[in-house]
Parts: sequence; structure tokens; C-alpha cells
Amino acid sequence: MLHMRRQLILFFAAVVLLFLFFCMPFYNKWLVVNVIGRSGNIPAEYEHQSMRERLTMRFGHEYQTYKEIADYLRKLEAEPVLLLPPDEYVQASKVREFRVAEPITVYYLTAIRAVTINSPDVNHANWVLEPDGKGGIYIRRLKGREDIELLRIIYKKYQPRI
Amino acid sequence: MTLLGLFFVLLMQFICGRGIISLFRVALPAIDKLCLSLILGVPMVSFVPCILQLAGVPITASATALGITILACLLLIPQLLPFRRPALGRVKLPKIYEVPFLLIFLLHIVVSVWRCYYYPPTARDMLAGPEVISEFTVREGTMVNSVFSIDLQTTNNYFKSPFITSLQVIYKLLVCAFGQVWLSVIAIPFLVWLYVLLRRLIHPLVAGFLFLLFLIMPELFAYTYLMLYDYCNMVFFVSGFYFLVSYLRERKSNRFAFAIFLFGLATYIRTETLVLVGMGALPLFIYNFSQKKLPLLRNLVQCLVLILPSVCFYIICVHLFVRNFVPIPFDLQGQINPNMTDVSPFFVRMKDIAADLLFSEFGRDLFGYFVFVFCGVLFLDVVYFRKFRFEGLAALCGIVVVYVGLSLIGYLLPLADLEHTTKRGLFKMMPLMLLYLGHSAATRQVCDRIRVWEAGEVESAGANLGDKAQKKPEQIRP
Repeated sequence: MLHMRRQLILFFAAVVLLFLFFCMPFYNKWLVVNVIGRSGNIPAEYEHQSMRERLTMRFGHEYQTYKEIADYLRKLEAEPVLLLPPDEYVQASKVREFRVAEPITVYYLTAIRAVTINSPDVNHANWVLEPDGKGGIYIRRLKGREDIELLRIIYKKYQPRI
Repeated sequence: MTLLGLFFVLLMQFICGRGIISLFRVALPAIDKLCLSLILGVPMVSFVPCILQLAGVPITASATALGITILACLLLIPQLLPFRRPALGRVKLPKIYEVPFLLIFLLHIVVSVWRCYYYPPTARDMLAGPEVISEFTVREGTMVNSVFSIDLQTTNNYFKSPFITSLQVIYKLLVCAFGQVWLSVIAIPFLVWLYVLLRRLIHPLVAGFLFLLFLIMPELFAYTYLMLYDYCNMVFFVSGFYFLVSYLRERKSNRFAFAIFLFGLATYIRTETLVLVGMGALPLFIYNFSQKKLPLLRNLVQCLVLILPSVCFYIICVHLFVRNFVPIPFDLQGQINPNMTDVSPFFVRMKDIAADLLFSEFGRDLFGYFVFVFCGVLFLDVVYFRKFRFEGLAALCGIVVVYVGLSLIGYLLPLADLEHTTKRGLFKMMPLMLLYLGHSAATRQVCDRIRVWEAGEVESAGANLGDKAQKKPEQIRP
């Protein structure tokens, strides 16, 4: 009986200990954001289980943009190759909420080939991703090698991300 | 998600893992065996797509399932040969005061497993390497696929171990679209095993609190659902370390063999681990020399044997798998520090680990207050109690090996940067710190007092319940 009573006291001690522990600002934030917040999201996430929804949830605007570009290019080209500008150039052009992915990641998300300006296959590029000057991006068809060389001069100032 | 596929893969992994434990004839309590079987099965099945690729067999769902089944059947043999009725032992229910902690742990595990399943792989190292290769392996039936025909100038992640690529292929083919849930199959049993070990050493209330501090280290918890090499590497390195210490205590050679096999698997997952295992040979040599008075030659042979499986797994990983699966030349020389005479990066890295990653605000954001609690308890042990158990000292030794080893890796490989490689390498220290806390004199003092008080005056008279409880697991033999 005494043993049982002491176990119950220890139970309450555990509850108090946990309460005090999660009152500490660092762990309180952890509990609210990472445990309560994230477990609270589960029912809503359970309702949206398609691949596209989950990819959009994770990669957001960028995933949708690359997907739309890929769908558009596939209609126009048999073998589209997209030239990606350096991310630093795009950020310097004040494009909102968009980062230029690596060619391998673009291939993963869209199955479309992409190259950077330093790629040995850059001359195969037939489209280029560009800032539109209004905080967005657009794609345009490349006119040939001269066009690529011109872009090379523009991109030169921006060190490519490795 | 295909539940049938998940059940099949889990069962096969369990059989494979249990087969390995049987091969090494490691006697373990039932819960330890269950957890370690699940953990060990994961790297074992990861060899299947690699073997299929080497054999030129197209990697399809049926071929992979057949390959896994054959491997499981092969590893079933050592379990059937010395057939004995499995002794399940008495199931001990948790004490009532553990329940609040267990509920918190469960909540964390639910969040971790759900995120692991629901979200696609995110880490840049995955999206610029293994995840892409695995995705196109599933589509094209070969690991040497169209990914290698695109512009790969911005990454070198395709040179990493095929461990994740293979597991992603298996899980994408048989379980769910994003794969990745194999990470939970490693992380959850490891956490359960660690908690069980700690609970055996100290009072469940203190064990629950210390384990909570460990579990909710923000950086470490994130990698229970973010797919990358380091968490799995930590699991196998720490398991290997645990069995190495248990060998040093009990001198059972099968435990040594099992430990070095686990180190080998850790090296297969992250090849840099070879440096840490090599470093680990040094304290083993000193211990054998000073404590066990082992002859020099025998001592040297044992240290070499410690490293041997890791070297073998390194060769399999780099020279067999990577060379055959990556149709791009691998320049190992180019990865190594060209200016070896300048040793300053080694000391700078040592300083940076302490100043930037462990004892700073950034360090607190990474590991919470766990490292500070460890340091506080260690300080008490050194200054006040001045009593150390062998296992505690071994854990401290392991922490030093990881600390110095990571600095050495930073010096040898300039690409191993502080913010990523070294930071995640520190994961290996954390379970060792937790094990130390379990053996610390200060912790045991607190636990003994709680135990005596809990047991009541009559039972406590003249009995050191703490020691009693610690001896019990050693007697468990299945």
C-alpha cells in the first residue's frame, strides 16, 4: 500500500516535472511549434495525400512554377533543354519567393533537362529562364549561340552556386 | 501506401536482422533483439538492388521482392539450425510514473513517422544525388540511368554510398511513392533500445527525463524524419560502440565480432567513419596494453581486426558500388587536403566544434540543453563524486574519439565543412553522452535515493536497490 502510494506520488512528480520543463521558454516553443502544431496538422494533411499536393506542400511555389514550365515546354519541344541563370542573378533582380534549383533537382521535379551557363551542354539549351523585372520570372526561346554568349556576359558577374 | 508491401518489407528486414544476430550468436534480452533485428535488417536489404544491378538484372518490384526474399531465406538458416523454442521472458509493464513520459515520447514518434511518410525528401544532398538516382532507377529499371546524362556540375552527391539510393528504390517500388519510411524503421527501434538500456541503468523517472532531453534535441529529432546519412550512421556507430564496450567487459569474442561488423555497416553508410573507427583503435590498444597486459603482437592484431571490416565495407562501397554505378570518374585524390603539412585546420576545427557548435546559442538551438546537462553532471562526477564506472569511462572515451575524429576528418577532407558535415557528425556523440549519464555517479546517487524512498523503509534497510536493478539485465539470457 505504501509502495503504491509512493508510486502515485512519483507519478504526480513526473507530471509536475514535465509541466515545469515545458514552461522553460526554449522547450515551450518546441512543444507548441513542433509537437502540438505539427501533430495538429496531421488530420488536414491526411485529407491531402496526392503526390502533387504533398510536393507542393513541401516545395511550394517553386515546385508549381517548374511543373508549369515543364508542362508548357513539353507541348512546344520534343527535347526541351532549359538554361538556368545563376540564382544570385535572379535574387539580384528582386524576384520574389523563387530560387533557381540545380539542373539535377529540376530533372527530379519535372524530368526536363536543364543546364547552367558553365555546362558543356549549354549549346543544347533552347529555352532560358529569366527575371521579368516585375518580381516574377518567365521563359523565352533562345535564338542561338549568340544569345547564349550574350547571357554568358550578363551572368559573368554572378558567381554560380556550387 | 501499400500496407501489404510495408508488412512484407518489415518482416523480411526483421528476418534478415535476426539472422545476423544469430550468426554472431549474440545473446540479448527479447526487446533488445527485436529492436536490433529491425535496425540491422535495413542495411542488409539495401544490398539487394546493388546485387541486382551488378548482376545486370532489371530492378523491378518483382525482382527486388524476390531478391529480398532470397536474402531473408539465406539468413533464416542460422536461426533454424540451432533451433530452440524462443524464450520470450517476462514482459515488464512500465511503472505508472513512466506513463507521462511515455505519452510525450509517443507523441514525438507519431509526428516523426507521419512527417517521414507524408513529406517528400527535402535535404539538398538528397535532391542533388541519391533521391534523384533512385527515382529514375524506379522509372528506368537501372541504377545507371538518365540522371548521369544531365548536367551534374553543381553536385558530387552521386558519389555517396548506395545505401540510401537502394533503400529508396526498395521502398518506392514496394511501399510508398516517396520511400523514406525506412528511416523510421531505423530511428524508432533505436530510440526504444536506447530508452530500454537507460531504464535498466537508472531509475525510470530519471531515465525518462534524461531521455526526453535527448529525444527533443531539435537537430537530432529533425533527422528522424529528414532522410540523410548521418542519423543511420550514428545508429550503427553507437551500436558498434556499445557492443565493443560489452566485449571489453565480458571478453566474449562474438560481441567483438558483432561490434566490428556494426562499425563496418556504419562505414558503408558514411565512408568517413573509417577515420573514426581507426581512431577508436588507439584507446583499445592503450586499454589492452595497460589494463589487460595483452602481448604487443596480439594487441596489434586486435586493433587491426577492429578496422578490417570497416576497410572491407569501404572498399565494397567505393571501389565496387560507386565505380560500377556511377559512370563518371571518381577523383579520390582531389578530395584530400593538398597541404597536409599545415595542421592548423585540425586545431581550428577542434576549437570551432566547441565554440560554435556545442557551447553557443547556435549550439543550444541545435541540441537544446542536453550538452549542458551532460557537462554539469560530468563536472559533478569529476569534482565531487570522483567515481567512474568502466562503461562511463568508455563512453567518455568514445566522445573524445568522435570529437578528435571529426576534427581530423575536417583537416583531411576540405569538403567536410563545419556547418554541415561536422555538425551532423556530432550526432554520434549524443547517445554516448546519454549512456554516460546512465552510468554517472551523480545520476546513480539520485536514482538510489528515489529507489530507496519508493521501496519504503522496510525494504530499503541494508539493501542497495540501485545496484540490484543494474545487475539484473546481465543475467538475462534468452
